[in-house]
Amino acid sequence: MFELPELLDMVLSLLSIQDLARCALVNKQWCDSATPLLWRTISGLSSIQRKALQRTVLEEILRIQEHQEHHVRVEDAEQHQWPGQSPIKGEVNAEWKFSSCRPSLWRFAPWIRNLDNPQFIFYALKNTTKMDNVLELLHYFLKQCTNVRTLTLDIVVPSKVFYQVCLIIADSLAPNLRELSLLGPRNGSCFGMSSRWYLYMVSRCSIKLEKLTIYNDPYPGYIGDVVSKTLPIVEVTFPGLKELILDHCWSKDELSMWEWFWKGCGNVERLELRACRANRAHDLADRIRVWLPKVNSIVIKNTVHRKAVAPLLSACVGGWKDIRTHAALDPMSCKALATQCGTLEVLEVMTISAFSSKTLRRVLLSSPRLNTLITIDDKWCRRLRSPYIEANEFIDLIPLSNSLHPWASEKSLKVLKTRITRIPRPDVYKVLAGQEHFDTLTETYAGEGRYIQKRVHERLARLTNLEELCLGQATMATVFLESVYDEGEGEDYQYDCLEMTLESGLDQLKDLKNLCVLDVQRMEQRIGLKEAQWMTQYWPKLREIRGLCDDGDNLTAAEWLWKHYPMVKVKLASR
Amino acid sequence: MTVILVSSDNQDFKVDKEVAERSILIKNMLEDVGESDSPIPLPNVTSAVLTKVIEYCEHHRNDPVQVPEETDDPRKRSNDIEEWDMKFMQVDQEMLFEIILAANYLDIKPLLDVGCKTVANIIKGKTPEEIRKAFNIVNDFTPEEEAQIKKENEWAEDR
Repeated sequence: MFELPELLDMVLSLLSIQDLARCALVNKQWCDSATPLLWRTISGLSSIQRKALQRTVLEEILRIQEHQEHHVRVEDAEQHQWPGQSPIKGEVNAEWKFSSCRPSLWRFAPWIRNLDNPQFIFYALKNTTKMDNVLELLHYFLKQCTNVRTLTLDIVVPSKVFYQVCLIIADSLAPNLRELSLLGPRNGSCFGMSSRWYLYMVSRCSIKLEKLTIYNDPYPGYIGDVVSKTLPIVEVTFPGLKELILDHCWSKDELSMWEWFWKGCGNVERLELRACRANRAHDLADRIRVWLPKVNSIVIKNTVHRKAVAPLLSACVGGWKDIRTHAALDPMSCKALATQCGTLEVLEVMTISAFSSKTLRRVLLSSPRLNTLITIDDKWCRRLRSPYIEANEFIDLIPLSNSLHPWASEKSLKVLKTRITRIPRPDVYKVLAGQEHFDTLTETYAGEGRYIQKRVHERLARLTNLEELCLGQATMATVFLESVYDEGEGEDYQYDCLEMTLESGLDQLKDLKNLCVLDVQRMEQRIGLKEAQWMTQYWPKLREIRGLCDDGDNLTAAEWLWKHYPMVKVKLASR
Repeated sequence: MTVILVSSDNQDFKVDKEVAERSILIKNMLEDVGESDSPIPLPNVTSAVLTKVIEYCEHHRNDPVQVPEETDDPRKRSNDIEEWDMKFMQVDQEMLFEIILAANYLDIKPLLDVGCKTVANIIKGKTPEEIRKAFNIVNDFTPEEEAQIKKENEWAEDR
């Protein structure tokens, strides 16, 4: 099969750079396939790897340059105006004579697609040779990197030299980029770069740019003695730009500078905000309304001020389709969220607020397009109190009647990941009697627990297109090794949750024919052998059950599944 | 509805249309000819390989159609192989390569992916000499060339 280069490429593309370096030594054909892949992504290298790469890339040039120094007159870089004029004279390069073999970078540089902080090449070099030469070499190297698509620049400790390096990068790489990330120092460090500098970098990009990430400092400073006011900014538009990830929404006196940038973002569809202060929110919302007519998806990180959330949720002209928020929702944001139900397809809410349960019910009740509702992280649990929906809101009886409110999302919902709480569990209460647990509820009348469990199952049964149902939550223990229980927040184990036995009404879920994944991590669900048998009988597409415990009925169920239904993935967890 | 596939050694295989259409090649062929009972010849696939391929398609008949992941860096993609697929791929190397070639020819992307992942897992962690030995590959480098490549790729080695 290795005779077909495309198949060899396919196999090699799955390997790490360490493996690729070995594959390149197998034979000539493998070398031809492995080398471009090896150079494809230059990112996350150790300092030793960086030094080795720098040697590979520039050593030959340095050697040739030294050798031919008397032929080539390198002009003093200080004569060049940064950045108005290119610091490299084309004819200088042309005069370099590559004798037996051309420098490695002639071959390697065009293969680089993803590049992370190329300035390291400069830093590794600066001690070995004269600085002006190094800047020229870096420029020369980057000029060969004609296929870089993704570039990340960390602006950790900006200096005059870093600034000049960045100008070279802007000059050589920016026009071809698809993705650009400018990651400034966060947390109010004093090493900011002025907005004008960011704008200059961005203005050097072209219609090819698809994704832009800018994290800048809330209090941008000015660095070195290079005055950014001289940076020539050509106001361009970005018709290809689909995704915009922003940090601080810039200090007030710099906002006018960004006006042209917003005007050029007319095709952005997805917006992610890492930070926004309350007093900037209305201004930002106005920009979204006016300049981002096609945006329909927003991610709000928890560093956004909670008072900024409501204006942002109201800022989409056509209505948000996709809202993911890690910021807490205040009453105003809950209200704003409710107005988006008509268009909402995906909702992810990760921080609890006093209104979680009512708001979630409202969304489920009135969102006819909703296909995904997520309030818990099933991989890692960062906080104990993720948003939940209380059983009585989930059942949602029509007042004075005994039937459930029809929900607009009943048929559209495919992924539901949330906790359903406040279900009385007399069985758990008996076992835990005498111990203090926050989440156990006593029954107000005998049989109340069963009644509520059956009705919760009745509600779930109406979600007939459900593919993924996660009612459990991941343990916190693996994330925070220190005990978190001391903080009075309770355990990560759910006691007041749904019992998922046939007696409690599981058999009502027999029409969930599309269900693929069931997650019951850290839940007192009591799934046993007969439940496992029932699930495999009625859910033909079931392929994964997460969170069965390694003891008791759960273990019996898991062992039966392993034996009889190996295609269903079952991973056990300790209690 | 069923269709008949004919292997290179002239054996007929009767399979559900839904199963056969896991192969984009066959799917397109069926769309082109329209309603027809005529058998589909697959001159590049032997009956032994076709049996395996059909077994795979039967098992995955209900899988959602794969949306190609548009990530520029394939190393970021998941390298996990599902348990059933892993067992399915436990065949001798000749058969493994035959399955990959058939998946490529028949255009069954998920099977091709699993096959390539299996081969990649064989390569992982091996020295060049071990790789040559595993796949019966002849080293056609001169010692000078080998040293040159080793030097060029030094930066990527384990540190």
